[in-house]
Amino acid sequence: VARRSSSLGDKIFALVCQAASIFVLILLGALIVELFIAGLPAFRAFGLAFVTSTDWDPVQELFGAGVSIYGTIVTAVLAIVLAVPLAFGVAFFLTELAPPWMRRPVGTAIELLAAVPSIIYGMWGFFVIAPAFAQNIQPWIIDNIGEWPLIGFLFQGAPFGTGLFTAAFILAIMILPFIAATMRDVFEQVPPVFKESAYGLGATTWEVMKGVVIPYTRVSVVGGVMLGLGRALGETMAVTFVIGNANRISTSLFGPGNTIASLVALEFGESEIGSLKLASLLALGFILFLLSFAVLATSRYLLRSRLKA
Amino acid sequence: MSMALSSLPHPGPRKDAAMAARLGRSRQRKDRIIRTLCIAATVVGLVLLASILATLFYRGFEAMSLRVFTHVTAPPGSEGGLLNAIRHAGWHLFGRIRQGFLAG
Repeated sequence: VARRSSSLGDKIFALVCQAASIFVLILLGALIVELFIAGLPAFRAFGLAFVTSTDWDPVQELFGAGVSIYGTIVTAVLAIVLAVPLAFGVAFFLTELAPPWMRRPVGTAIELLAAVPSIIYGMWGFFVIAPAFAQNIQPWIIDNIGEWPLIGFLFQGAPFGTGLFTAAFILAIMILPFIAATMRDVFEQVPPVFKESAYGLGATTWEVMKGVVIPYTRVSVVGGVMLGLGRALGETMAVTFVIGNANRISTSLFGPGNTIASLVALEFGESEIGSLKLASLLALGFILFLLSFAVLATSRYLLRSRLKA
Repeated sequence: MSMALSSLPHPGPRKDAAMAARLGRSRQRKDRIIRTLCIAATVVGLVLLASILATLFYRGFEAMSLRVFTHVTAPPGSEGGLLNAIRHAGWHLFGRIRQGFLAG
């Protein structure tokens, strides 16, 4: 009798667990559907051109997602470009170069960057990074790299301190710990015998990294980078502080801009219920959801073997 | 054994000692440069963390007093505290922890 009652308990518990996980899935689906329905008036009014249009004119009720999609993608990609070499350096240092007593404290310190709330990144960016960029770094870049052919136009304009580049810089610091931690974890999973064979053939540390560790972990490394990209796409508060909040596309990376998340954060409070503006903001949210969902799903797919282990 | 091996004719082109030394030096140099860059990357990461913490402490302590913990936020211009925000953060944290236990 005791056995039967315990197997009944098992069944109930399994059902409850199943229900909980299905509930999460339903919640996710409901969120997407709800965002789409709420944004439908905007899609109806502007059609597919909503995605590409660079208008954002609340007075004439003209809305387009072009500027904020541009800002979102540019800042996220630039953040990846800045963060990946840094994260790789940190992971390389932590797995191959650092003496064993140093690995834990330094690794923990880098991971602490992930524990800093995003509002603090925003304030720090506004009070420390933006002035430093405006006074020293941006004038120097504008005077030097701004004169280069082909890419010079990306680094021209006035040194405001805030703008797409500053936002990307802050984002890079925010995603650095995620990418570095993923890289370190996968680098550590390379079987020592592979590395030792390469060292035995006389390879230098860098050659072992380039010839053995990176080829072995390539897919997982890309997965970690995608994880960082997904975080960068949706980041709101820190970006809103430093991006400059202008609804136009400037050719220079130092110009002000907007991301989907920062635009929604800024304008949500001042849009009336049932207005086309609110619908447009929710449609923006829907686009952002699809974007980051696609990126994170790709990351999960690439990291699946590591996560299973 | 080693004598017998070294007396065998070397397969392939003859090894140029000077060239081999140059190649070895350039490989070592590349390795050193990249190692230095990696250490620099880690230092940059730590400096950024230190900068964030230093900014918080330096600017935060200036405004820190008992009032912050004992008074609620006042309108701009008058002296107030952050009791309301701190209390809510505490409840929020408590709620999150409980939620975490239930879900995980």
